[in-house]
Amino acid sequence: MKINITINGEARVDDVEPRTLLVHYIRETRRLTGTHIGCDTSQCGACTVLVDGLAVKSCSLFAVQADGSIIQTIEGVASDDSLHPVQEAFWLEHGLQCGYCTPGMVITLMQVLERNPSPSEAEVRRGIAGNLCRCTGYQNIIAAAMRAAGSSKGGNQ
Amino acid sequence: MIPAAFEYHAPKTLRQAISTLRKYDGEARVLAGGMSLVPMMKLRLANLAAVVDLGRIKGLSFIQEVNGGLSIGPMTTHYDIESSEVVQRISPILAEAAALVGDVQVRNRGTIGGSVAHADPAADLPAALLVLHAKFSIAGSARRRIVRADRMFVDAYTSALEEGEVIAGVHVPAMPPRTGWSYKKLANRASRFAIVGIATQVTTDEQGVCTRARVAITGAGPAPTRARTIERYLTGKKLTPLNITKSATRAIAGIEFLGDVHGSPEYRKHLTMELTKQALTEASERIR
Amino acid sequence: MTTYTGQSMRRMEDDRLLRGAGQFVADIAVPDTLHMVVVRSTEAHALIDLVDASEALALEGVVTVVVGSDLPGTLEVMVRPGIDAKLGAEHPLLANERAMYVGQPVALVIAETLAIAEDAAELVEVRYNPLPPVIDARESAKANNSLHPGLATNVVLRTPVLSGNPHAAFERADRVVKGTFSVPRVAPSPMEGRGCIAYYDKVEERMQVWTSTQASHEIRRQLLHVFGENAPEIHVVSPDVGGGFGQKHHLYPDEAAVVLMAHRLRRPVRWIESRRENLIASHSRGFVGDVEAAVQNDGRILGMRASVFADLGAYQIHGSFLSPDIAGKRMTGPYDIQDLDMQMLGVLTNKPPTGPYRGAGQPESSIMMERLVDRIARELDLDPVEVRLKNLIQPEDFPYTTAGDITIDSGNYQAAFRRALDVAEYEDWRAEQAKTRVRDNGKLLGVGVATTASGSGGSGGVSARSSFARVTVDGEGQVTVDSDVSPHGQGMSTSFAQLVADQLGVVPEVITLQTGDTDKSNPLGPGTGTYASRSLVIGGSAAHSAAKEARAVLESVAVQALECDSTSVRFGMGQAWDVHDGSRSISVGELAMLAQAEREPTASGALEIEYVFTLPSSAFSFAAHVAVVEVDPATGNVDFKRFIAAHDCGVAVNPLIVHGQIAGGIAQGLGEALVEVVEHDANGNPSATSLMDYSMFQAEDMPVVTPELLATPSSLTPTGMRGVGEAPSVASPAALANAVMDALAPLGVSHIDLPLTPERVWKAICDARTQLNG
Repeated sequence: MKINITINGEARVDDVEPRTLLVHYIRETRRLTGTHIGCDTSQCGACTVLVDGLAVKSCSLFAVQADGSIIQTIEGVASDDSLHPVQEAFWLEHGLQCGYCTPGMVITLMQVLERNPSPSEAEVRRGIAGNLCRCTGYQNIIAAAMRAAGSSKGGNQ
Repeated sequence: MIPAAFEYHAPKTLRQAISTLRKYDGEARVLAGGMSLVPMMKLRLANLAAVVDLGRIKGLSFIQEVNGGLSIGPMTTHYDIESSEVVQRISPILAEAAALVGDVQVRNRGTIGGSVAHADPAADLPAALLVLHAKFSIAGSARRRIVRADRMFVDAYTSALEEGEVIAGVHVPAMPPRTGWSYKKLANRASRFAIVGIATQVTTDEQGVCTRARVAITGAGPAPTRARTIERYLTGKKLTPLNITKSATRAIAGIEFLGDVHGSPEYRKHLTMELTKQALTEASERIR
Repeated sequence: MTTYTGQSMRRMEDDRLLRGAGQFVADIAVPDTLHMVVVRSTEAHALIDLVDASEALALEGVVTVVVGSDLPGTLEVMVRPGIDAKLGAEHPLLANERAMYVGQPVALVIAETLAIAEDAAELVEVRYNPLPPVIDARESAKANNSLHPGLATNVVLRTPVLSGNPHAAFERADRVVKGTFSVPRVAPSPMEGRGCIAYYDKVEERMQVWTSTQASHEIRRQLLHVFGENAPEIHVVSPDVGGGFGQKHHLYPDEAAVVLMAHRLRRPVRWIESRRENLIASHSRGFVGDVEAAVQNDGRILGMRASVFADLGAYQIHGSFLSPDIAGKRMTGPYDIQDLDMQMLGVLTNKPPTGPYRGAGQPESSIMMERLVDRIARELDLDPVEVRLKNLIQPEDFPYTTAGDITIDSGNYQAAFRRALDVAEYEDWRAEQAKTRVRDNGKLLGVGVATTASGSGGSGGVSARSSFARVTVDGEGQVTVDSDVSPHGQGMSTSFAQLVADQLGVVPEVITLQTGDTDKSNPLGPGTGTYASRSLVIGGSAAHSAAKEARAVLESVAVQALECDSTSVRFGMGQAWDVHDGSRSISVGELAMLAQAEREPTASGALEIEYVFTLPSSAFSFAAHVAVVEVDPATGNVDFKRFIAAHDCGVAVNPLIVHGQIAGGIAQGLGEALVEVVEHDANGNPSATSLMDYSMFQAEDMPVVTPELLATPSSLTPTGMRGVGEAPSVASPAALANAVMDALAPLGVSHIDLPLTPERVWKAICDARTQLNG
């Protein structure tokens, strides 16, 4: 099936099997490998991307369902010379260790902070309930989220 | 993990969707948000000939206030529901249950129609819809039919939908005055589905006597269900702590309790009583 | 001379990881790659009557289906002097004739696409003839025959410890306090599962292997063993690794099969593990033990006896013995107990093999020990803090040789313990408990402490305690550090750079760390990878030492170039200058070139200094954790009020990273104590096959951790550091278990098997009430 998907500003038409998952399309067809696969059953959130502005788990979506949509992956979050405030906060607060869950965490927090620019710590914890991290114990991720919320632009750029 | 191959259909109208489903004679399934179906297909627990995606049909995602109640489109997402000022005002328990589904990403995709049709025995929305006396408008036959919530959840993963039928709308009546509500769940720590979840709405007269009680239980047994014994018991009584406690022990009547890695039947039985007590207490405190 | 060491420097590796530019194994694209899918046993114990691949092979795009008889060979088992391990239960690459656990690889499907390989795998028919499985390790140890035809017993490992005169200690004790404690099986669950890509490089005439591992050198060595006599040359690279925690410490059958099949087919083969596979086929922990202590009425522990069973699963693998051996030798933890009789048996069962997981034996032993210490306090009606203070090794007793014959060089355990208690306001909580244990919200207040010592980098022989580093300084002043340890979250690019920058007088930004490549650091040299809290302690010390040597070389050249004496030379910001004449300076790059001109030529032309650092013995760190919890008797749910973690990990290189390690280790430790478990039913089926059923800590589950760092320098490392990676996972489960049991003690609950799930806690409360009323 032909699908037309714009990722990080780049529109492309590709031919995919209906069973191609969006995450495989992003990683294999578009070669954007910053979006990771961690669990297959939509618990871990490593595959989170923004589809038409909504954070979704791209492992639980077929690429054909996203036909015509505009997607932002982690590769499209920072500019060449500066990180997004959420990324910046992760760096300052040591919010990542192995870095595997990080792209999904960053994307989800962009959504969480866009909807709630000054969340409580509990709201941040609830906000990343769908993103598992096995390295950090979340402590510094939460600190990063609170820092990003405090910075001038917390949400989606 | 990749599902087995299937044919993909993205009809533009509900009528087309239904005729496509019929063509496959039970070998096709409706794809709404896909939050349950897609993982099942990846694990190859569901190998389908075809998938009929409702995502391209216009006009299936809406929240409208109708006669003081709600009319909700089947493709309305949990996020739309939890964040809707209209739902929060008219049916706060529905907004609360929607907010407790899964996580941000799942709520962004998962839909009310999908949740109802999938009939997961531990899902949150069915419990709220049961106490709200929601009605589902079902498309499929020549004429639309209406199914009441208490007829909808038949068994584990089995709803009252027949082959080739699709939920076309969800209707929630207005909440009467002097009504309090609560949804309490103990979530399975891995998936956040309810080990047991209790939804309740109680209404009293001006003297504080309960005129209508509704309690629904999810997670405990094979299907979300109303606890009618409690409802009958409380009606006509004041919602005192003693009456609430007495009623809670009746919550377990008629339930065939599930046992799995997250809770034995014994524990679920206990939680059902305990959370019923907590939910009724909170609901009675919320009556205004 | 420490401008950078000791600073909370932001990590240099973060930028690319934050931008999604990391390269994990699944991100590597090799043209023309075949995809491998593993068909796994659905039976815990069965004869395999038939594997019929005909339907699978008929599918277009399927290249081959491989069954047990096609791929003989077994994984290597590590043998160490002093370990009584019986061979005969080696792990075959594929099950042949018999399947021994649910999840064991039975066949391989290799196809042109992943989708086709998965389709074909569904079509492979395996006919099993089920045999009764052995699930319980204790029962298994008693059996008169073995699961493996060549063996007479299921007890394949014995690592006893006998020290002093335990018999006499029990004779003179006022009383004996006993307990049976279990430490359940868990799934280490790094967020990135395992995965491997390999191809035969016709130009270089060798296998090129990328694999998600903690120890590329170790993988290479074990692959050579699997290939046997006609092994090709093998080059192993570990790219970015998404967490390891011990699970990626050794070679697995599926991982080996990728390399063997790529060699056989002469085409690239790729296998990326699914979460399901990760959860069902590789576990850790799984201990149960009867422990008893001979005690005086004042709380002093005179001696201990223990009989512990370690459930090894169906086969012995490379690291099978590690956790039992370490748990036995470190049973006495931070306490001065010399009389010990420790029976430690490693037993076969029809479950997946177990390997080390964060702490490797130390969480196992500390959970048993710390629970026992609390039980002693309870029986003697003493404060558990008092019992610990009475038994902790005293500062003046160091160097101290434990009952397990481990010499701990130094420490100040009381100071760290007291710090933890102060910060936690321990006395206040106890005072509050004395007033009422039931809070206004109906919940029960519990306070728990744990004091633990954990090793870093030294449970084995010289090679396990050694690492290699090469520091290369080029003419531009750019520095490369090659190391045989490799990171999977530890932030080595930063901490190594801090150590090296201080030695060379350069800024950390000019330093690049190269790891995980068996070519780039000496493949024949010692050192094997990252585990046992060793990467910075051994690998970092090697880099530090190499840089120190390089500095000496640079300094001697600087003296000539600056025409001054050595006491006047200063280094910093990539320059050397004469302190008495600031106008005279020379760059580190120029110095390196001058120095290199007089040395043996190097391949790079740059100054290269190699160093092998051997840690004399394990650099023990100390942790004291205090947990304050509320237990809801209505649901059995446990909520955290406070969590204090005092760690003495010597002189910290980067406190920011240390804090991160502590919070992360605690998340795993608390998860293990509270929610995580893989249980096998009577048929050997696992309780969890996806993250829908296996609970690991989520953000809402995690308490706020208050870390406290103390810095008693280690005499064993050049900068005084000790390891920190595992210590938080060693102390935290014990502290939590003690807190929950403390909350429930007034109800008469004295024991609950881990994990302390709401249901188990609730059930224990019910049972205690029934007993009280009965």
